[in-house]
Amino acid sequence: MSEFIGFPPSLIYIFGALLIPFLHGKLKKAYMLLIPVVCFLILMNLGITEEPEWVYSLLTFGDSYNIILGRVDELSRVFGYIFILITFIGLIYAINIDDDMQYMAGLIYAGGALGVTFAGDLFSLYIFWEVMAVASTFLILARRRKESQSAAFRYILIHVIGGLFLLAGIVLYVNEHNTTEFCVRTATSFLNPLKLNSLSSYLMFIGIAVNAAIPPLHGWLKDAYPEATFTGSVFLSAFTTKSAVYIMARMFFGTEALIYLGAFMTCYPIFFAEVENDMRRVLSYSLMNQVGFMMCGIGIGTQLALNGTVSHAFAHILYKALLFMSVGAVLHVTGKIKATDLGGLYKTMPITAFLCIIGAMSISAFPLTSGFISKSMIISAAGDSGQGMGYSGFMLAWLMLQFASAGVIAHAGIKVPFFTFFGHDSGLKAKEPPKNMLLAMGIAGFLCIFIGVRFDLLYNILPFPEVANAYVPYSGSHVVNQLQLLMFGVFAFYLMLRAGRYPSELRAINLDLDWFYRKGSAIFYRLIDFGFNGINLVFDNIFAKKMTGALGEVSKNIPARVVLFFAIPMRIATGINKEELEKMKANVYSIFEHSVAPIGLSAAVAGIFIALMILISW
Amino acid sequence: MEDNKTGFFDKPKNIRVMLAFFFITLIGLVVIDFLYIEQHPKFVWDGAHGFFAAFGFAACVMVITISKILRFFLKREENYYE
Repeated sequence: MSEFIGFPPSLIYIFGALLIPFLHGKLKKAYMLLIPVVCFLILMNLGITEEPEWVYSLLTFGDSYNIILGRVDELSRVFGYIFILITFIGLIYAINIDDDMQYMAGLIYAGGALGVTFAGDLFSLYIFWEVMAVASTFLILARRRKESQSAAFRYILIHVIGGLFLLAGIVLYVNEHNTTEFCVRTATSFLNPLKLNSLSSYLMFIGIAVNAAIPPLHGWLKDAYPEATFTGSVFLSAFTTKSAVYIMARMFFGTEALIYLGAFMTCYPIFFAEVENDMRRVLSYSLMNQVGFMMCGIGIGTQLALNGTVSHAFAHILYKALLFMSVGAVLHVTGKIKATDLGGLYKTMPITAFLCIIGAMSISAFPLTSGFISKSMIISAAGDSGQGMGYSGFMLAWLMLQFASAGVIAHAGIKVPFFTFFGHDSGLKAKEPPKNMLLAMGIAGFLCIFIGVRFDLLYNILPFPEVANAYVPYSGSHVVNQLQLLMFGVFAFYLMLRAGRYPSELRAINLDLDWFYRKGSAIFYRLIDFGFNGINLVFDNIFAKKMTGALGEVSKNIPARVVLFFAIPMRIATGINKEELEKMKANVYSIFEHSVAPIGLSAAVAGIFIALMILISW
Repeated sequence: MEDNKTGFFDKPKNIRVMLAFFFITLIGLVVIDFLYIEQHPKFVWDGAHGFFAAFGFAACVMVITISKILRFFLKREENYYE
């Protein structure tokens, strides 16, 4: 067994990707699809390890730091499975694009996510974190359009800043704890989260929050994802935010602030998605909304909540990829992605439309789909905690989550399929996408339903399987309540649409917080230009022009001044009048100006200087 | 000739049938709730039968209305950032 588990999946992905340019045709396709298959088998074979695998020692200045590439425990294993599964589906979807840059970027990016997931030390965590940031940027650049290039530039800039926060936190953490290992398994639990109370923890929290797109740090997501290639956005939707969810759960499980940040995060993007014209931007906002549920679950901090978070991440990756794949297929076939250009495509793309509806139903958490059996756990956990706290605890969070659940049906559940495949007929000439794309969507669609029905299979690999198996998603009240919530949401949509109250599709964009670094940055630049150059001018005047002259004047006379400093008090003590004092001063200055001071005097002055220096530096 | 094909939803009859099913589902959900479902409320309000129907409806109306208001303030030309 130990021979078989020779390599960490993250490294297989990253180094495996480097071979891609050397292969061609069918061999290349087979090779790429083999990578996730091999890694999946490795992970299955490994099982849950009490002690981490793939531990390497790094010697620096006598200190030994461990590089741990294989912390495969109850929490990381399930993330590993879904990351590998989604690369397999994503690769099938992309297998015919024949763009090595995207294949390599996609695999290295996924490898980075796997590295982050299985990292047991902060050093490798940070390396893989940055690998993800850089590799994912290429999935945006690969679209090879001007807009994509600027978006990619902004994207990497934000992630570099986020990465620096993480790095600063890591450096402080290592300094405080004298180890790079974090959240090490204890005798009683695999979970050993940090407390959000020190500077290092705050910095790491912010770094992770950037990748998780927690408002107000979310601008990059809605800015960049819609600019990626149609295959790239499938990968992007899976890894960056979900690996951040994993690390957040690992490090800050039970941090109360996350309950409210998460609840806010579920509600905030709904309104923007509702009036957004670009379908992939609608999906980006809805991605934030879903990650909000996970953040809230992490904050609640019960076993049920963590199960809900992890299963929701698992389910979400599948249905969000399915949605990105189906609108990506529309973009690929028609070249259009805006609601104003689309509509009526169910006639020409019925299979894509059908699969898109499955994705939309899953994200809306209809019973019998994966979203239902995962999201309901988080909301139940919020409710449970409320009960214990005399109907007050997480009441607000619970209401916000339910509100956001209803909001999902409005913006993702109906809007995406309705305005793409139904609504007004755009008259676009379209056809079904190539078979490989349909196959990838088919697998994802099948899994969305399969997990919704055979939820026990997913529940068994969750962090707390006993708690998960004791949970009954399909109780009468659960099913009916959820159906009421959704169907009456649809009813509201229908009435508003008929009454002409629904926000019409418009060729327009809506401002969000990314304004601050897109437009605001220009204003900021002017402010900085004015501010700093102003300061520069003032300092130039004070230091360069006036002070140097003054300093030169002072330093020129230093020996004389030192002598007088000692001589004058002595003379005054021995009795001297004002006139004689002035005469002595002039005399001393003249001596030093003409360098005719007795050597002894100069030496004495130098000696005092040295003595002073030694005293100061003592 | 693909785009001149009459689709399923181009026929008013089909839409009428679907809407009828939809309304029956809505009524059915509330009726079933009142007759057969034993609620396990977490808070004081969510034990009421039909609570989630009202909540879902109100939430979606709110979402749509608020986002319309939001758009009034935040809408810009498509080439705003260029």
